[in-house]
Amino acid sequence: MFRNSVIIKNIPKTQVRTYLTHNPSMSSGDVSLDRRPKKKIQVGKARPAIYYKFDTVVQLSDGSVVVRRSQTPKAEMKIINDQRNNPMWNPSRKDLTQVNERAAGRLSKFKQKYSLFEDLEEKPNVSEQEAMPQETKAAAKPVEEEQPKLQKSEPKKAAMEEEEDDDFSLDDYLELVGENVQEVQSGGKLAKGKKGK
Amino acid sequence: MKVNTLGLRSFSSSSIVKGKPGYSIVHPVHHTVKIDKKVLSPRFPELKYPKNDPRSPHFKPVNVAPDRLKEHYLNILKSDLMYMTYKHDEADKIEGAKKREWDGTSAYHLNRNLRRPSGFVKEQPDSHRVTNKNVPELKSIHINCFVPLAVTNPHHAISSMLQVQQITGEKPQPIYTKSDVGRWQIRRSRRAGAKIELKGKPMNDFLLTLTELVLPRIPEFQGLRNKSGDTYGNLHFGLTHKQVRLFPEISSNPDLWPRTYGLHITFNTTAERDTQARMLLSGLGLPFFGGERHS
Amino acid sequence: MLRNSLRTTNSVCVRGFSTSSIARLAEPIENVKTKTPIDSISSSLFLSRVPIVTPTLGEFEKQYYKYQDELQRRLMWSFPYYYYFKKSSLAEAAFFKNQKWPISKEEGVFYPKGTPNIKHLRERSEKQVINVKEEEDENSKFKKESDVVKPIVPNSRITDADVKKDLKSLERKLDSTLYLIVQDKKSSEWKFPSFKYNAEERISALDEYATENIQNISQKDFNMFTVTNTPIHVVKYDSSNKVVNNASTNVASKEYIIKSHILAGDFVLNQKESQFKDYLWLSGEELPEYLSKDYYKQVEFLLADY
Repeated sequence: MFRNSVIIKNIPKTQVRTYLTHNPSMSSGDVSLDRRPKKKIQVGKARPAIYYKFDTVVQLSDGSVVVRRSQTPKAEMKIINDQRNNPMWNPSRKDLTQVNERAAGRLSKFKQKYSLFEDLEEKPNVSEQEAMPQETKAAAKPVEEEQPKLQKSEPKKAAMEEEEDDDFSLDDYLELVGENVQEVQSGGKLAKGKKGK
Repeated sequence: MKVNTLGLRSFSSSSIVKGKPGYSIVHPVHHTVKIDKKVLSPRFPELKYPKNDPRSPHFKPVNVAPDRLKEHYLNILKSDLMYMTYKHDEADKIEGAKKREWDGTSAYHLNRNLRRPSGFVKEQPDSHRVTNKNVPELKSIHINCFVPLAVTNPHHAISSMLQVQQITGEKPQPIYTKSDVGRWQIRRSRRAGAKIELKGKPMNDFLLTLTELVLPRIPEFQGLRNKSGDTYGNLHFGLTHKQVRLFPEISSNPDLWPRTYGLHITFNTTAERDTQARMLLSGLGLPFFGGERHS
Repeated sequence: MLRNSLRTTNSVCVRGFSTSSIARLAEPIENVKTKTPIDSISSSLFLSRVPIVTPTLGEFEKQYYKYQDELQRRLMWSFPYYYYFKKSSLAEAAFFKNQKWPISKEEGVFYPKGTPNIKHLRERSEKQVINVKEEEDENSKFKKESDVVKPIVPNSRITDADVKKDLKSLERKLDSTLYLIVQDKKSSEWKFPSFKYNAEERISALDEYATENIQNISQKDFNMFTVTNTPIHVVKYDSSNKVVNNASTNVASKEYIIKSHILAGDFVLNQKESQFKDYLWLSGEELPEYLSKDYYKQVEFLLADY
């Protein structure tokens, strides 16, 4: 006894892979993926995934040099804080100090705050002066193209150019600004669609 | 059906009786032999080469550069571990709980399935004395990055795959959800994350990155818990989405990673006990802290 | 002091997983009764310094790795420049400038090496070579004295101690394991430092005895990691203090060897306070020149591969 048509019943759910395009049961604000048509790989042509890797030369904090295979396009890398710097991995040594990028000292705090004016510490050379405005202009352009959130950084950079032209020194600016300046936050929490339960 | 010209009955099939056709009594084995039909076809001659032959399309080079973690293990760690795991007057084998036979007091005990092990639901593996032939070794590392957010926003499914790929340097496999829970907003059979099993050199490279670059940069990192372990020599710990950012592949281009995902890392070792596995992993550069569970 | 100078490609350090239990800090064992008299037992220390640098590759190994590397380079997928460098960014422009792109296909041109087959700026029939080395700019804004910008130049793997052949230095032969051997004052024999038990003094465990004594005879402090309290080997001697290979012959004294690694500091022999007159840090290959034939035969299998 044979059936004329083959009826497939009870496909196990694990075999059916559904990719969300639109799910009416989900809340609004649902995201859909634009999938490009799958490229057919011919039989016998499939190859294992071997990603492009660089032989990055890594210098650890104690000076040891190691070759590391990674996908990031870097030929050399210098690492400040790592295993050789960490007292847990070096219990014999008590002189180890880890470089704190977010240092709590007053000088480092100051430097962090006014990092934009770092180059104005010394009087710039003629060649540098010519180079600087060009670079700041170039930096300003992509800023303009981006979201309006960054508009507040523009006047700062424009101010930088003006200062250079007027030979405005860093010290004078700081006197105006004062020591305990709290920068204005550029926007509060964005209103989200979700509401509390 | 085989019918001999002499009319003799052949052993591989029954005789024709009452008009009904005979049937083969040779047990079929054709379904037990796995035949890759592509290899039989003359269209694909390159598939006939073994996978370790450079001419095969499935070829993947293995020993591309010297592996310093493997060399360290073979030169120093292996012999040290053999000495460290030595216990005087230890039995060659400590049997784990096994399934038991029925008494035979009842007639129904005949052909009955074995009893469950005493005190356990499942059978427990045996534990052997460590000799030069079974020194604990790191077999594989499993990385599991489950992202339930991907059920509502499928972009996370791709991002998490990319993250695992960048961290390990190998191609991960997608994770599919297995359950339907409305409260957690997950539905069955949805792609939600990435997983990968690392072996050999990629595993060693990943472990070196972890111990030299990532874990030392975690603030207030104490190490792996001494309590972690499945009692049979496999240890596990996790990294939060912030800690994952410390991988050089992600920290070197932070603009590309507005969002990272936490993941689970499991170390599968050939050690049969957790204490031995901890000895091995601490020798490979992982610190430990806290009280032990008896293992 | 170990780990002072800049070194080249490094091996993984030995981690100190302590196996000492609290009970060992308690009072020493009294009224010890042993089969052999206490005076005949000595505890010896096998102190080794692990290799600091990866092992040197031979010619064949270099060729093998180069071949496998080239195979992998040929099979590697194309570098996804569009992922790492944003379109029309400065970094992308600099990246494009630095690359040597494959020759593109043009009509009516004969290509003797085969017509180009290019996808994503990559010639499919060849390996892809991406150049990411940052070229040194003369007009660079950054100061070249700063550490961050200088190119990485690793130190030579052959140190000063190698050149001078200072056999007492720990910074010699960075790619192989070094072992401490000492020369006895009376017998002038070279051996691993061994300390005989004294029946009158307090008797401590083998590993404790060896580690305490080695610290006492050293002028400088050093940290060490004892692998385990179980001895790794026992060397048997007959009444004339010769090494006994055959177990059946008369065994007058035994030397139990304890394995340990030096982690930090240095061992410098204090000749006055010890029964040894000289010490050396030797690699596995150099040991047979100093150790007696029989002793070396006993101890050979304990040495690391390199």
